[in-house]
Amino acid sequence: MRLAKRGMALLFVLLLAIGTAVPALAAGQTTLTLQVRIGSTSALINGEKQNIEKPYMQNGMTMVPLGVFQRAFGTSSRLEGDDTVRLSQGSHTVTFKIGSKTAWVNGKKIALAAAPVMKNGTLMVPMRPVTDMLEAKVKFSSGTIVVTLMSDTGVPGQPSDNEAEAPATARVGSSHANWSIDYPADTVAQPGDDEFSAMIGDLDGSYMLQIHVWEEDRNVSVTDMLEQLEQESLSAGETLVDRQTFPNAAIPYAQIIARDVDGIYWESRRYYDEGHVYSLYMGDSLIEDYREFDQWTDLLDSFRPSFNTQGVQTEDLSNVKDGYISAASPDYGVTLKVPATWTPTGSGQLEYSSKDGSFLSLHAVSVDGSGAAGLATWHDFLQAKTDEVFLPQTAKPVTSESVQASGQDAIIESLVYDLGGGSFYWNWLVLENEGYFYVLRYSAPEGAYNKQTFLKIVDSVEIDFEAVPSRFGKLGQISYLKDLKLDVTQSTPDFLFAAPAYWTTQASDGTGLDMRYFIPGGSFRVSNVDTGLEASAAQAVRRYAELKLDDPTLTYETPKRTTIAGVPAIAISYAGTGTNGNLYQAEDIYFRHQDKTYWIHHQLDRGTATPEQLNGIERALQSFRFLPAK
Amino acid sequence: MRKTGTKAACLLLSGAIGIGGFGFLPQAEVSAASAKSSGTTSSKTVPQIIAQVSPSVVGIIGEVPSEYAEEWSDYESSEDEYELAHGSGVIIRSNGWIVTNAHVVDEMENIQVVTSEGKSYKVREVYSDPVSDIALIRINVTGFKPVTFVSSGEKTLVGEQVIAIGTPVSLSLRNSATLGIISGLNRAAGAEYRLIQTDATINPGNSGGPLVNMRGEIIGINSMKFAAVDIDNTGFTIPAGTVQYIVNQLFEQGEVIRAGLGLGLEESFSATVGLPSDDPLTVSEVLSDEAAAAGIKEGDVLYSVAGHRITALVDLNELMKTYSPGQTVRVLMQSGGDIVERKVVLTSE
Repeated sequence: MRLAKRGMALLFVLLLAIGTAVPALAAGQTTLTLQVRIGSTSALINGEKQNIEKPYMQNGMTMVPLGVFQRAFGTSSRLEGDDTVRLSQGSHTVTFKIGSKTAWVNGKKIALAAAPVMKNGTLMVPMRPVTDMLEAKVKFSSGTIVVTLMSDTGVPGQPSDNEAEAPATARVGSSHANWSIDYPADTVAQPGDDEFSAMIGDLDGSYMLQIHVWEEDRNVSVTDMLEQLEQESLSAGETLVDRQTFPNAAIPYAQIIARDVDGIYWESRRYYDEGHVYSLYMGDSLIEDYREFDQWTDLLDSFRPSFNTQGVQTEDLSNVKDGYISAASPDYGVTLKVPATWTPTGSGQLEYSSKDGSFLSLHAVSVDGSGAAGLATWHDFLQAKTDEVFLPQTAKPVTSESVQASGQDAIIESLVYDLGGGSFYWNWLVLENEGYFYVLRYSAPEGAYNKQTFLKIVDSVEIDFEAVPSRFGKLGQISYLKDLKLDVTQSTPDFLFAAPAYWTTQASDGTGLDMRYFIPGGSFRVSNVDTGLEASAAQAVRRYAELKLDDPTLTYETPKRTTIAGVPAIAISYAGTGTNGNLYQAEDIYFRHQDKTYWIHHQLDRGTATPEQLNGIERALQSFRFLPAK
Repeated sequence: MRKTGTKAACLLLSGAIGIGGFGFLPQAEVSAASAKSSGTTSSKTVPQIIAQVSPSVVGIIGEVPSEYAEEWSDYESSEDEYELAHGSGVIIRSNGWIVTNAHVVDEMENIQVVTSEGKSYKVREVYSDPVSDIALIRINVTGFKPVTFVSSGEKTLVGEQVIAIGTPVSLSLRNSATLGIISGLNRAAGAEYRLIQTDATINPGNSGGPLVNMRGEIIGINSMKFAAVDIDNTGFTIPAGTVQYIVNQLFEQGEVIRAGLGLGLEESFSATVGLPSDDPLTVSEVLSDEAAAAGIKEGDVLYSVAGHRITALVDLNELMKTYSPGQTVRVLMQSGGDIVERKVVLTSE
């Protein structure tokens, strides 16, 4: 429950890497926006209405007056020679030549459909090379163009909010996690891994305060919390120096002071308020006597389990807006908003999951070789895949609807199936641009699934379509959508077999042989067991008996003697109902080769045991081969 | 005010064969001589050139307030309120018009011109332009031999041999000649216009005298005003083009009417220090209503005027020589990030 305190050094390094570590989540970042309209002299620059020379379209390129970039984003531009214009931000530059259709973006020559030109005495330049160079997001919406850019240095012409010497606000906190504390000068506050943790540290790295919030259903007393803190401290190998409770404080709290394994002193306080536990960990590398923590009393006493303090400005570390937070895949050039309760899984380009079973993932796929010729063929493509994976009656026909996403025509394909455990919903948002499909998948079981949630996510999707083509070559289809008949050889030093390409490889535990694959509706696993052939089979039978205690529907067949990879094997088929309520069928196969017992386990939800899927498993089993010993 | 006829120029060139003073040559020889002088390098010796040009170089003497004299000469200062000061000049019209430096004749009273032969003449008229340091004075004579300025089409080269003629130190050293080379061209040496740099020795008193090339043409008027104290062999000369621009204005108007953008402009650091760069000028002040009407604001940046890139104030001054107040020029500027083209009506500076 309590997140482990990492070593001071590491955390301070992370803290000092503001702006480079987790840009989208760092405190003090400003979104700069430029909003222009074709044919209009009115522009909205960082919220301020300004007059500009009218933008217009020429040969498909949006032409804007050069000055908008400086005023919105603080880029610098100058004339070089007689007719060369250089626009730069940091080390990135765009070079134009007035009247020429050739330009250079970061040293790379590009061709322009329209050349920069003087119009009514003002130099107009094509917008896209500049927004590319800035890596800004561009959104077109019926004649209005909105360009946004994240900046660490605040609005051009205005003092930055990131003045490290004196924080702009007196207090800092999170409106989502509902807490706030005084914001000391010479410190920077940063959100932690999620919306429920944060850290405030000084720039020298000599002290740091960590704040963690979690839910607690039952009412926790200060003595309970004191015991918790003690136990956690001891199990972390710390030396306790002081323990107290403050039951009469404005918000009662428990407090301990301990010295950690690195010799650094920490004061920990724990508060309980309205269903939440708030833990504060104050570490100070300069303290050598626990009494010196007196210097931090005022700061720690200023903590409140609420965000708003009457009449005082509080900086908000939370990124949640209307219950949604920003998510991004910088590689794919995609930003979108997801519900604040979802957490990133940490894998893939953009993947989120939730305790209720909701799942979101983003993929970019080359049109070539994807199996779908274009956006319009995705419906039939997904329907064909559904037919291959789901038995009739388990899945409803895939439905299609047209939507707008990131200013483009897109489609949402929807699938509902029931494998016995209740309805499960899948939605795919598909866009097509410059030879790539952008596929956003949302899946959730009945009760967690909410179409409106997905539509809100779709509405927030913004894609910079130049990003993928500029960074990637050919990208293959999402694994579970790959051709069912394609196999990929899996090899180890001892054996090999051919697994269907549409099986998704999963991470293994690491020790010894453990190859795992996710099959739509099931799984396939190859590993070793310690027991011999007969003993393993006997153990399996005992296992089924145990499982039957919790699952009365479980049945198993008599173990069969068979061969696999040319060696004797024992195979036992069984079926039951999974914890998710889905009916499944499975098989355990044991076989021995050169003093090792191998165990193959495969399983499929009954509803997904289509001939195609079963054939895939069969192919994998038939292809098993031992390699000659070296 | 009559302008010099081309015939006189031919006469001067043709009369260069070792004869001091003026003379007339038969037609055939005139054309032969002029044919020889155009295009091909006529290899005259240094004595020949000096003999040809020197008669047109004069000394200028007068009284100046004591404080003024100390600046320009190393005279032993007297207790008198006024002191004698002198400089040099060049005869540019046969009817007595002489070019010299403005700083020579400014503040000067009872100005006298002394020729190479030692004859004195009282100066009747003075027209001075301190900005360029060129002045025009007139004495009552006829038939004087004027000099020829180098034509604008001809290229002066760095390294070319040049001769400075003038009256250094004292009037007794009238029409002294020193020999050197062109050390540099188009120098921005803190003057309004670009200057020629030479190592031909130029001492106080040489001011207003000519710098002559090996064809006997005047490439400029020497000026001590721009020389740095205690620096050897670095003298500056006002180029012939600038001299003629000023002289023409003085002839036509009695003063120089300069066209300007009506802006206070600041050079970039590189330009001030003298480093090559194409950093533009910045508007520090909008001085004229016309400039304000063109939409120019303080802080705007000036890239080019009439299509010419301007990186130093001298560039702008040189360009403005071809314009008069009231004319309109195109300027390319940067304002609020936008690169804009504006039209400015020039005003007199």
